[in-house]
Amino acid sequence: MTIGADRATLESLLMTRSLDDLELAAASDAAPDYPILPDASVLKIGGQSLMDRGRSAVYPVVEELARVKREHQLLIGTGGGTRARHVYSVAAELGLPTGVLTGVGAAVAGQNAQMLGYLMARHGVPVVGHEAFSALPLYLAEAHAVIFPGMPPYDMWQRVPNQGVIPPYRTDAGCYLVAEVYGCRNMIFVKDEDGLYTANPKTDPSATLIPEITVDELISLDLPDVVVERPLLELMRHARHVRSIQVINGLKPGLITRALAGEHVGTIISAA
Amino acid sequence: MTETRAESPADALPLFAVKDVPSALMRQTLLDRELVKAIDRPVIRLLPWLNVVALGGRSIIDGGAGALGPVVEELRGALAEHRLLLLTGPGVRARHILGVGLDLGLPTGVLAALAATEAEQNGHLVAALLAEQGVSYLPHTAVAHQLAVHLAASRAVVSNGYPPYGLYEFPPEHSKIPPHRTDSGAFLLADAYGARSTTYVKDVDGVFTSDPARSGGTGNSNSGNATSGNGGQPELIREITAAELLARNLPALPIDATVLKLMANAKHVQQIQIVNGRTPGNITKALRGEHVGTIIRTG
Repeated sequence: MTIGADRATLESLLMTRSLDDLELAAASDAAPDYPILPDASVLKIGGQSLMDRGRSAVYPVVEELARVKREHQLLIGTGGGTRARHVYSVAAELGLPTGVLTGVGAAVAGQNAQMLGYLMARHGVPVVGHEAFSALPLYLAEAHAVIFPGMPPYDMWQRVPNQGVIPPYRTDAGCYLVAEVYGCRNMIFVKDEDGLYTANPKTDPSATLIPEITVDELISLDLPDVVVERPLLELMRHARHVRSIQVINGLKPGLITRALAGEHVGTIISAA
Repeated sequence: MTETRAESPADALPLFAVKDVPSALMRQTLLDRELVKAIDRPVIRLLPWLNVVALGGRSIIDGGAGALGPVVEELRGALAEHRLLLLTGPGVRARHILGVGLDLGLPTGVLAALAATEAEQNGHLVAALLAEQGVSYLPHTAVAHQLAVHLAASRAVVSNGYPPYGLYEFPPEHSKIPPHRTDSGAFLLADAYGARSTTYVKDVDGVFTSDPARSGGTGNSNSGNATSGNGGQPELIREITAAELLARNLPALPIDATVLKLMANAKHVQQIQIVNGRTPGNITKALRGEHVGTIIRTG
């Protein structure tokens, strides 16, 4: 079929069918994928794992980010951390819904973005909220890096979890979706462990590192605790651009640089 | 003196210590199922008197004076009795921009943001028609954080039915069409606020066993029988659960399939009703709790 015929079919399906129609889905699926920022990489700087540790953890990361941005375009997203856990805990005990928790939790990732922004200000790196994302290309061209709060803007429209009220789509999902929508080169989660373990290595000494795994394998392992938000794994299944992520240890100097260069230095989780 | 004193508070902390705020979730990954379960509490209804009404874009608003006009009049009449959050769909212009955007190779998140703009414009149209009664259009942030004060000042407000997912829309399976649209946005808000009722105003009597538009039916049959198959004359399904409806895998539903999936986790909303806004009186009856279309229950 020619490009013209494809487009005619798609337009006719769009005008006549339900948006859940399977033929329309297939026609839309066949549309081209144009990566918007293919040279940029998204890094997520953990809240509890890095920011909450203060300068002993954050200063070296800031120095490394300032160095690597000379060669790479960086979109630096921030996590929540211990204050997010506190406000979730208080709000959940009060019986407040997931939407309210999402809004107050988002503020914590915003604070971490501000703090990281002050530390990177001397390197010319701005903090940009998602409402100003249309200026990202300019910031990347001029400063080679921007910092953004990692929480997705779902607010009162956050999906409700099967159990409890903790927002299921938090900063891991938010940073990942930024990488996916812009068609970025890398999605790297900078945390305080060497990657994904068979259990939480902080509480279980028998936990062993899994260097590489697929989403399907990871879901079938049904681990009690996973280093990234579980719903992220489902999002990865249907991704068109970012088909793998790497989780690395930001407390070990040099790993951010090596991961950006394409080296396998943590756990790589792939969609297939 | 045998103990060495730390030189500064920062040095007194072990290297890489986390500065925790004490809480039930402290030190948790929030990813451990057992630990997160421990803080499960009943969720309160923030606005138990709220009625959420979603106005279909293609089915009602695109119909212009003939279709939207009478619906607006009926809503005007309902203001004395009910407090309403009116949410608008985008309609045919969203279909157009989806077509252009897909052709350009733009991703689902960009398409979601573009389509949402059309729903917003429709919201402005509806709000303008009800302005005389004190009804205004509210942007997403006001709906999320100032809905209570606006509905204390006015009997109704209008907003964009699309949820604010935008660039953060989920990549859908075998498709690039944004999965969270007006119907989902309305449902998520109704559940978050613990609304009294959730009504979807469309141009069909409810969910049929087959698509009345495509099988040449009138869309007005009223059999009350939910058991017939896909073949033959379309029959109205008066009442069904979300899980049953999903399992029947009907080819064309008047409501987005995502809503049926979201219903499984609802904290408050126990049922939604799809009503035909082209039949005068239906919206009024539905707001009074009458069964005039298809009721879909959460379980």
